[in-house]
Amino acid sequence: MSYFFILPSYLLWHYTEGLRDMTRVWTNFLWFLYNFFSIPILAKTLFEPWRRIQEQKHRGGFSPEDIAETLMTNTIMRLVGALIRLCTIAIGTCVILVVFWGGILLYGAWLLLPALIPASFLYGLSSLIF
Amino acid sequence: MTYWEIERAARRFYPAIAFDGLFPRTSRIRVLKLLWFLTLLFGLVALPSIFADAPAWVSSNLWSIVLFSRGFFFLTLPFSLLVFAFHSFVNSFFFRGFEQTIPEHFSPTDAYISYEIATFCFSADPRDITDGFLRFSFGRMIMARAGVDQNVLEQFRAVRTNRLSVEQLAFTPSNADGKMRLFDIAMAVFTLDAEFKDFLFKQGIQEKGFRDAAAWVSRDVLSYKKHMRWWSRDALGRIEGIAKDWSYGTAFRLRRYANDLTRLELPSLSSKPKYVQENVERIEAILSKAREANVLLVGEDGGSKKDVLYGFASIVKEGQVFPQLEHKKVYVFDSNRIISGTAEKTKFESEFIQLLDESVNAGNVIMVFEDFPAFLQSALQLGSNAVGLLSPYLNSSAIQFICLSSPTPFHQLIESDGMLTAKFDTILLKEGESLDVLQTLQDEASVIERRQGLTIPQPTLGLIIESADRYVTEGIMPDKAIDLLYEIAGQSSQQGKKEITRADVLDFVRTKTGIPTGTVGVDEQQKLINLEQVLHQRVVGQDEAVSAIANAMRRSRAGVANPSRPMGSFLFMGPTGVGKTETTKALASTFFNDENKILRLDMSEYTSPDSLSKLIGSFQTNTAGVLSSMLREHPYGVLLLDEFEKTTKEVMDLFLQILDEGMFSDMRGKKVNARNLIIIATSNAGSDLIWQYMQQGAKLNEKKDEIVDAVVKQGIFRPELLNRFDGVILFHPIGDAHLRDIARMMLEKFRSRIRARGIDLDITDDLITYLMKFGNDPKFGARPMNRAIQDIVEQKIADKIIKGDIKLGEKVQLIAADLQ
Repeated sequence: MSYFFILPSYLLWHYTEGLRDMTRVWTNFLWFLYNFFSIPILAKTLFEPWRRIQEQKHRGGFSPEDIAETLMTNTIMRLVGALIRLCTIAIGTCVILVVFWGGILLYGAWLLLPALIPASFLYGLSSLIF
Repeated sequence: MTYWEIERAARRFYPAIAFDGLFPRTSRIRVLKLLWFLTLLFGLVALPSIFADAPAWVSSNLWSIVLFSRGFFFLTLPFSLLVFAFHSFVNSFFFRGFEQTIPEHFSPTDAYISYEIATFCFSADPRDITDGFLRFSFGRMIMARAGVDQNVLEQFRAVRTNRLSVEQLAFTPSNADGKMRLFDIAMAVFTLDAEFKDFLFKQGIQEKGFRDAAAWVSRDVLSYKKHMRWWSRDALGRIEGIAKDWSYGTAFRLRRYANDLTRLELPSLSSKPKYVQENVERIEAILSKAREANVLLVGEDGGSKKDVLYGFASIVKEGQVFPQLEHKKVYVFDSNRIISGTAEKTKFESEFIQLLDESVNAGNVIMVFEDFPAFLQSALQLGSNAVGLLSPYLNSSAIQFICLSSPTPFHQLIESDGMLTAKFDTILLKEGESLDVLQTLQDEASVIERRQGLTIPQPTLGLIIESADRYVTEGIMPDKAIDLLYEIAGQSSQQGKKEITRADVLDFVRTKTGIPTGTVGVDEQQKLINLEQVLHQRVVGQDEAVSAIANAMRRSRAGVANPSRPMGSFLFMGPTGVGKTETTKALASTFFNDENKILRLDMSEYTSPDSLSKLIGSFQTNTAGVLSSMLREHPYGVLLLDEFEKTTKEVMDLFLQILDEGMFSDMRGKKVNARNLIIIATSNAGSDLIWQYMQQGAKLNEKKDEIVDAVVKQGIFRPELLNRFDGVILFHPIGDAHLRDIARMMLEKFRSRIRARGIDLDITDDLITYLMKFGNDPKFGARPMNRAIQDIVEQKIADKIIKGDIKLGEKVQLIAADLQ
């Protein structure tokens, strides 16, 4: 095997399997963030009471006061839960979007890499010399 | 699969392998780290240069540094990117052929060979594959693991004559996934090259040893790759997510009766042996199912059951689990507390159901019963059917159960219950399976090698397993093998050794147990060769007995005896007082260097119907057995069973098993090891016949079959029991000449006793002749002589001491007149 094959083989890999590998790692990170921020669980349990804290009806029979009290407390717990969950979903979505667009940018950089490398080197050299 | 098929698949890897050869992985990673660091440093300093002109607060000198840094940043950046790009190129091939627990999208589907296989094809000469394997870096690692010295290997390479060409090669992937691994190449070379196989045989390495070494290296490579792939879903998926417990409640009632393991400080799972980790992964996989996700963990008490449970709790606590199990709590339920707290059926059932309802409501409870059969039994005593109470909850995904059990109650109570077996996935913790033990030990050895800089070859590990199994009687495999490995490694490190050899293991075992193992030293060699003479220093006559025992002991010491039986077993038959017990003592003293290594049982005490229970313990009365306790405390030595013929048939059956397997089960079903014992049973059976033949002047050896047949016919011993002994030895009555020798030896013993008090005794022929008149009763052997010495000689000396007739330092001579 001649060592001269390394460079052309590399270039072929760079634009075929290299792209596929990059996509794999990128989707792994997106999958991880989606699970890390628990977005599906939070969306499913958006209006559930915060830490399942709920007020039970105390007195037997019909008691408007009791019903109102229970309803109020449970509504507040659900609202608090929903608010915190919404915030987390929002932060998680932002991070995922950043990684998504970051990935797109990296794709671009990867495609241009064989050109960027000499360009960067020449630019660096020229800025030092001139 | 032919070599050329593999080689074709490997060609795609060649450019990456060639680059890896030019710029090896370790240096590449080092250079890459340095370049990224410099790039980042220059980039940070150059940050202000994004302004077109220098800000007012920056001096001109400082600005020129910023500009220089910008130049260097753009100079180092392309080198960093270049090395990174080529490193990724190599990695892309390096991580192929790798199994994933969580499947990843866009994985290469055609990778049925690994990077190592391709590297082998890249470097091997198709005309001489074996040499290619021996030059190949991983091939050399396998050889080192197998225990082959590098110099010996080089010598072999120089003199090889056989050339294994690729045309002769055929590979069969050993793994079910059909992917070729390093292991498969190694085994192909081993199987097809007879010269190579022969070379390994001469080094003491057979197929199993080589296979184990190849599997070890192959697994180490995979484990390294797994560790390096931090971006894989398997690795990322174990990072704890946030916010998952926000939707769960709290099981207040359960907290009264249970301890939350996830609140405790738990040792990390990575510190546990591999087999524990694997079982934890199995629990994780079962509990991640959508329905009926409950585990029954069955293993011996004192085994790895608790380790597995705590290991699982630790990964749940760390959040290093699959998403379905994140933020769960592992509660160990104290069933005694609820049973004693409620004390009656209705209360118990109501409390238990409320507790379960609350746990379901909380939604994140994994409930653990540490002894599930005991809980079922206790509930049953209250009249409650706990299985019926649990049944509706076993389908729920809101509460899950891990139930622990020992094998015996599992088979008795749980296995027969179809509902339980349907709702639970059973994990049987296999203790002591040799492949698991070996893999576990190899993984542990790899850790020790990294930490302590020691080398532990495969043959050493094989011996550690063998020794732990045979000589360490307490505990179960693989735990006791791991303990032994750590103890030996600790000692070797302290002694500054670089490699643990087989000799180190044997020496360690010898020091720890007192059992002679390891290389036979010069002194011991002399003792073994002249064992008959050594035994004869204490045993007079009885040549047949002494020679049979000596031969059996030499077999045992040479390591050719069956390791699944006691070290030796003999039945000594003959009249009383002829040296049966003395031979046993001499043997203990010679073989174990300690006469006190004798464990003696007078079998005439075990004649009642409950004798077996006395020996192995009773389940009903919960008492431990004499024999089982004795052997647990003293697992090595000589077990002397006096008057063996007097015991019951059941006890003889027990010994039939012990003689055959070297093991028996006590009342709790736990195994007791008797493989490190020399078992000697003595019996007076057949003495009349022996006596009769001796009177007739017959040779005992020639009459042995007749005597044994007579004993069998009389129903004293069954033939199958006699056949289990390594030897049935007949002791003949003592003749006058032997009795005189015995008298002399007894007097010598007495002499050494009184010499300690400053008095000496002259042992004359006259004295012995005088004693023969009183101490010679052939029916009782040497016993009357012992009594005669006591009554006559000892008494006379005692009288003289009391009267003051003997002065300190005086040598006493007793003549016949003196004694009358």
